[in-house]
This record gives sequence, structure tokens and C-alpha cells, in this order.
Amino acid sequence: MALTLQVHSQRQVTVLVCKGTIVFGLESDCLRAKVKELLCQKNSSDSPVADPAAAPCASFVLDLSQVQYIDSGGLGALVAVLTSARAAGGDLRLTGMNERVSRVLKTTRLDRVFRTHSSVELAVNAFHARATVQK
Amino acid sequence: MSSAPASQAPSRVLIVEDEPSMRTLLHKILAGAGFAVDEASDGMEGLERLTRHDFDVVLLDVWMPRMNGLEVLSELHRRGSNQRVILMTADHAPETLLRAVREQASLYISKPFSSEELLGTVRKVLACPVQPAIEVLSAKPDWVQLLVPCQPEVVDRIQSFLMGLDADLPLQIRESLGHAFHELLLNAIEWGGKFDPNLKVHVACLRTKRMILYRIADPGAGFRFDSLKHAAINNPEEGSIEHLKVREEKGLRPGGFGILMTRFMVDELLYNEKQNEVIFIKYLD
Repeated sequence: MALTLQVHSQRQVTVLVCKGTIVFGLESDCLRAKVKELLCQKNSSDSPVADPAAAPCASFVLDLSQVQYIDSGGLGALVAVLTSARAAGGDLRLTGMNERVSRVLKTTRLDRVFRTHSSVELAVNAFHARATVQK
Repeated sequence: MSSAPASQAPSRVLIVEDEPSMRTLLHKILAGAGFAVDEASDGMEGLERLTRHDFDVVLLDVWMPRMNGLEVLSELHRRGSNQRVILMTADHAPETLLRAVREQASLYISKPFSSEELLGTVRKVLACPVQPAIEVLSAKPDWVQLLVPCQPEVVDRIQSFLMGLDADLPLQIRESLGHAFHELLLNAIEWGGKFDPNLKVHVACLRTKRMILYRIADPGAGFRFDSLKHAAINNPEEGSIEHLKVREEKGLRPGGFGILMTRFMVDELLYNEKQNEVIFIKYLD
């Protein structure tokens, strides 16, 4: 099943709702390209004239609640997104994984790499809690 | 990932289905997604439409009056047609699925299916402009042997048919087998076959009462586990993504988790000495 992505912003955090499978090929490429595009938008809106409230953010939440499966190539894409987000001064958090996806993260020991949350709200809150601590 | 950009002509889909309510429903879903849709009520009418008009993909039911879907596939194959065909059926009989592979069906979708599954399958087939030919060496339900070109598009295609053969197994076993097969066939096609469509991978699936065994043999020179620094299997305990640095240095796409994932999905995973052949087994008792 192909991957479709819906993007919205929630309290200055970019939420990507993924639907389908994240696998080698078009699906992985689609996810990486979308994040790259969002980061480019962020960079171009970093100028002083831009409206800061409308600016995309390098803090991402991937809502995986409608993702049936992630293969090896898809895991690679997730790590690439994490790396890009961190390089841009942000981070990536995952939420809504089904049992199959959680098992894949555990067997590949990527559960130690990604921060995971049980809901989008908690993931967004975690970004804000972190920002507060950093202040 | 929509059906077609607004500036392009919509992809043409022919529905060949004898059940009027099913035909209407499929038409509505596909037209709603921007496809140009035509219908035929049985295989004979479908074949007539295909003779007179061009379609990007055909959605073909199996059991229909006058001429069934498998006969339509045979006739298209006999004519040397490269028509992309998605077979829709609730019939999981191995003979049906294996004949569909032999007659070069593009993909198989199991009835009942959701509108999302339908659209995802149609788009997947449309994304592959030239359908790679699969050679069937043995089509016995307990001994399937295929020769497949080293093209990434064949992975989903073969997986859809072979997993259909396991429809009677518990979901978790089917999923484990499907995912392991997906990872190892993709490895064989990418690393052994370098995505060269002129090279072939041998795939065999043997089924007994107590186990399912897959063998995948690629045309490459093989490898050594200790040289796979770009694979997660060689990561140190404390570093889950160490191999990705190596992949980046080598200009490889992100990934490299396949063998590590497969180890946890199957009961046995064996490589030959050169390591260009792999066998994996799932026990059923």
C-alpha cells in the first residue's frame, strides 16, 4: 500500500500523519522529500520579514497510527529524517506505532534511538517541556 | 502520490467484473480518485474492450460467466500483450494464484478489500511502466519455483502471490514470512543482481505439513558477514545506527536493517558458503 502524508502544525511542531506503508522505494523517498521540503520552507522563512507564527519548524512528530508496516528501507528513511531534523536544530518524535512497527523498532534496537510517545499531544508537549527546560 | 497530476490525462482503468453492484462500487471509487473508468461485465466483453481500446490497467475478476479472468489472462499472454492486470478474487486456491503468476498478472488483491487498498494497488501497478516477466519453473502448490529479473518492482508482485498461497496460515506467521521474504528478495535483487533486469534471481518456496521453506539464490559473487560494515547486523551492542555512517560514506541509500530484522522473523536462516544463496524456514507446529 502506498504512503500518503498529511502535514499540519500543532503549537509550532510539525505533525506528519503517515498512512500506508513506509518501505523501500517511492514510499521512503516520498517521506524524505516531504521533510526536506518542509526544512527548506523553514530556512526560507527564517528571514526577518517572515511571520514567525506561520513558519514551519524543525521539530517533527510522525504519527504512525495508520502505518501498517515499515521495512528496512523505511527504517533508514526514518533515521534520515531524524538526522535532518537534528541538523536543523530540531528533533523527531514518533507516536501511534502498532505492535508490528514497535516490534521492528525493538528488534533493530532503534527503540533506543527514537523518542516515542503514546499520542501526538504527548509528543508535542514533550517538545515544549524540553524548550522550557532549555530556557 | 496521487493518480496523476492535474495537467496529465487521467490513467485509464478497465473493470472486468460480473457482479453489477461490485462494478458500480469500483467505478465510483476509481472515478472519485481521478481515473478514467470503463466497465465490462465478463471476460469476453473485457477482451473485446481491450482489443479496441488502450487501458493503463485492468481490474480483473476471476470467476465470471462466458470467459473467466484466468482465460482472459491466458489470451492476453498468448497475444504477447504487456497489459498490466490486477486480479481480484476471494479464491485463494493455489492453482488459481499460480496460474495468475504464470500468465503474468501484475498484482493480486484479495476480496474483500478497502478503497484504500484498491487505490494503493492500482497506483503501485501504474508506477511501474514496464512489467517485468516472471518465469514459472514449477507451479505445484507445495513446490513453487520462479525465475525473476533483478528489478525492485517484482518484489511486491511475487510477495502478493506467494503470501496468497499461505492464506490458510495464522496472520502472524504469514506476516513474518512475508516480511522476511520481502527483505531477502530485495537484498538479492539489489546487492546480488545490482538491479540489472537481465540478471535473474531463483526463488523457491517449499511447503510441508510442518514447515515452509524459502530459498533465494542471487547471481552475485556473495559476501562475507564480517565485511558488511554497512549492515545493522554488525553494529556494536551500544550503537544501533553505526552502520548508517558507513552507508553515507559509501553513498548508499539509508537502510541496512534487513538481515537483522529477518533473524527475528524466521526460525532458521542459513546462507551457503559464498553467501549468494539463502534459505529461511518457518515451522508450523
